[in-house]
Amino acid sequence: MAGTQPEKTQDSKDGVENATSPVVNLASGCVLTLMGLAGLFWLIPNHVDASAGSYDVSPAFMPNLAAWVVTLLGATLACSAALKCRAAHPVSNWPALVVPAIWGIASIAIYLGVTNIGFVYVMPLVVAAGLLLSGQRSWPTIVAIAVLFPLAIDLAAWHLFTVQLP
Amino acid sequence: MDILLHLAAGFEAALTVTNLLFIALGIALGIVIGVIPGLGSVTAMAVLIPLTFYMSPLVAIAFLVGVNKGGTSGGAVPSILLNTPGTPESAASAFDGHPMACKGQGGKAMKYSLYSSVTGDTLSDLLLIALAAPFAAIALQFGPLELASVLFFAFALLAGLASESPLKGLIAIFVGIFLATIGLDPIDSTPRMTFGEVELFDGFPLTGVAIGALALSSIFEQMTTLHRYGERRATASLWANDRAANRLTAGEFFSHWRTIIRSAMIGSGVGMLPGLGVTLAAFLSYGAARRASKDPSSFGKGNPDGIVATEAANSAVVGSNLIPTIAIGIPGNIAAALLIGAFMIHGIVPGPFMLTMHGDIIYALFASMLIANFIHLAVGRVGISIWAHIARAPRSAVLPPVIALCIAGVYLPNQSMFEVAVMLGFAVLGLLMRHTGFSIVCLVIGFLLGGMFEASLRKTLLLYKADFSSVFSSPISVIFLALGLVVLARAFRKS
Amino acid sequence: MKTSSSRRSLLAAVAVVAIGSVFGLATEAWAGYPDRPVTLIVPYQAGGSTETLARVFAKALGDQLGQPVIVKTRPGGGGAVGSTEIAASAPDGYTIMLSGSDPLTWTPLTLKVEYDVDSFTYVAQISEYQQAIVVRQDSPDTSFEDLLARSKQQAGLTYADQNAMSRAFLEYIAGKEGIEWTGIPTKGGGEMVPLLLAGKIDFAWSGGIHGRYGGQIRVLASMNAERLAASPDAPSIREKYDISMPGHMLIVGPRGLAGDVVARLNMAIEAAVKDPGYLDLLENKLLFPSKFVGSEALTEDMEATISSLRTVAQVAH
Repeated sequence: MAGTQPEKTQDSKDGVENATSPVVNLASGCVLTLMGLAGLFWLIPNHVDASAGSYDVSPAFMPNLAAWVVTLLGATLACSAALKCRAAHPVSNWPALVVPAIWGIASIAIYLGVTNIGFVYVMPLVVAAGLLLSGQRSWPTIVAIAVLFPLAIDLAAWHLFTVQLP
Repeated sequence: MDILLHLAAGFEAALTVTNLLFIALGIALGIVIGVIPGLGSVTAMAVLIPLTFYMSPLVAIAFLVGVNKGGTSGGAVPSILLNTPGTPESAASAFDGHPMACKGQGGKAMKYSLYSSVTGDTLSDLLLIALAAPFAAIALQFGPLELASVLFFAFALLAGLASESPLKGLIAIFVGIFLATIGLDPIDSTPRMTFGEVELFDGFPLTGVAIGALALSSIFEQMTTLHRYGERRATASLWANDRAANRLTAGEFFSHWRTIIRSAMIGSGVGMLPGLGVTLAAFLSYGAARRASKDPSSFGKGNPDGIVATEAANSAVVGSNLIPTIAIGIPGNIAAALLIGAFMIHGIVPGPFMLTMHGDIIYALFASMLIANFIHLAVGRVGISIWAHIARAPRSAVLPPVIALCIAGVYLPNQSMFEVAVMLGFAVLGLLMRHTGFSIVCLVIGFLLGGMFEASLRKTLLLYKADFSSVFSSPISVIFLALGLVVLARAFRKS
Repeated sequence: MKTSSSRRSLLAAVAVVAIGSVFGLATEAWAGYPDRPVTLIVPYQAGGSTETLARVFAKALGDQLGQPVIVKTRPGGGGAVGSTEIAASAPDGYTIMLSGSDPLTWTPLTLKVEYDVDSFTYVAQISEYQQAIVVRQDSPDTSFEDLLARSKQQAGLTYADQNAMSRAFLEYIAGKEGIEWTGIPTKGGGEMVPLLLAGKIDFAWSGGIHGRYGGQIRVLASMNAERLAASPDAPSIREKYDISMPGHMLIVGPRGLAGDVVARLNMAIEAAVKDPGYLDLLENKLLFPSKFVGSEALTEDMEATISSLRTVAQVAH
């Protein structure tokens, strides 16, 4: 059963589903706490000017406030999740990270491709890949949509908006 | 009575074939552009303003107002059908619209959206016509302190959207707030965590953040689901062939009158007060509708009130943001600022003298706006039939090209690949949040409100020199602070 | 064997052809630009008055150049994003920018950006923002001196600024007079006007929007080098403090733009600003004055301006 749990997230309104595994919560809590601390003790002091004018609060006030809240709440989340972990022994849900990671890599590729090679060249590949991924199997459809759509967008952008896509 | 006389003359001037044609064209263009994720009323108007040089002033402005109206209602189409908001202000329509579509009631959801848009718009236009002058006086009193109070109230109201898991919702909000602080400091203009990147000086762009986190992440997620489970699980049909399922009678629509009126009021109020913005209006209205509902947990599962609240409010902004524009010459939001530019190009100088010097055109404009709402209804209905066909296509064929559309749509307004990068980044973040159970809406709300709140709070401190008693000198701020506290108190009592 | 006269005429012919082709080549280079569309960057939001003006101007300029001029908006950072782009463009005359002067001058002096004050070639000035210190009509201050006197008696009068440069200039003045003002940042005239008219602030810096408000807003002083045409009684701050805020609306290219391209552009711009459609829009509708200054005079002016800005910037930091 481990690692093969079906995906529990659906297209719910805000992605909050009722059964996030405590392991995931524990991991999230820890990551957030660490990032919060990194923000408080490295990012903000080095990259935000902390001097304040009269009557004003410093530019670092709001970032610090937000970072503190995230750190404290993240720690709380981690602790409560840790307690739940100890109570029941839930299954690890690492697949939760796989999907975002894959799309993350895809996004970087898309960005680099469009910026360096060009919208009209890269997007057909992306769309074709997407169509295959989503289950389209009919090659004529794939080619038609993948080629025509980005081309149409490119032409529309130029003729309607006088904007050249990269 | 004076107003009615002027208005009658206005109708006479407005009811010309050219005017009506261009209004219809404007609305149609606005809807189509609103459908494309990343583009909205603002881009549409900005692009079309130069085209209006050659039109007469009335037709030009009526055209642009039509574009504005269409743009705010168009964004709901992909929200409902694809769970992919076309504009940030239509994001909340997806929460209930998409579940309805998944049950085969896509048509009904779209009709709710259209009728709400038109109704909200009409109510706000009537307010504009009847009450521009007195309301403008209120708008004038709206400074940083009042803004901060309203934002505090908004914050209290919207924090309730995280009630599923308050802890994680709050974390998401504050992460959003933190992200909003990246950029040049609003008071000192010193760089905050910009790493020398000039494109970050103004902070992350809202469109990139909202479309990325809400729309693109949803597309990625849906494609992943399609990959795993195939089309059969994804949806039977968004538009059941059963006509009864998709019928929406006037009676049923108006049975939601409480939500309609409340949302139109919220939208009009927000539109009229400078600095708040249409996205805030939409979310605020959604939050208020949920709070006022007898069954809050039904929101997010297909409660039409969710659609009504969002669309009535975001369309109500269109009429009311002309209130300060026409009465004092200051814009309520960016779309109004564009209209001011358009006014100027056509020789109408916005300012306190607008009504006196150009009264006949202004009243003709009012008349055109009212007429436009009916045209909107007609054009929108035609649109729905068209979207119905697209909705019948399998999602696996529709979603991938929409990715291309998102990228182009986000790139187009400022020709900024940076904004595309932001969108992609937030899309991945959104995916991560979906898989770890954090609320994306809360992130977006925190981002939206956080920036505004910090700026107005600090300006308030400067303006009143941290003299806290000045809070009581402003009735508006007292009201909203009190309301905010009441909302928070009730939330605490419930949990 | 040719006769001497025919040899002379042959030499003459060769000479004529030679000289003629040299001139011809020069005219080739001259006439060669532009041979494809020119991009005009506007570093402000679409729909704003500068951007709208740019579109009409682009049409007029395109008519003069014989090639279309396409407007490309690149907002962000108060003009910094667009400025970064133009500074990095090839100096071939096919990318130029229309903007105010502060992203070109103040921004690189005070913020870390990828360009510098000398990253640009100044091509021409076409208009001037009517910058001023203003108060509302029922303010107790009827003149700039009144304001200064009142400020000396009452510390902490509040004002609204619209960008870092306006804030720095007002603080400079406050420093010179030994008074204390509190600045509230606003994002543009649209935010400033309600604060001023509602009486929440004592005075404000205006970039020209006050012109739409007639008697409701009074000008106390001009922030430009000269007095404002519409308010000749209000002194310019240069008269008192020997500094002034650059209010130029100008066209620039990247550094190193070839002399003949600049000259060609100058000719075209000078003709374009006389276009009746453009003038009508500029002066009657957008309420900007038309003011043309050619490249040489402008470059001198900008050099003086930049040194003046350095003075203020040093005080500010």
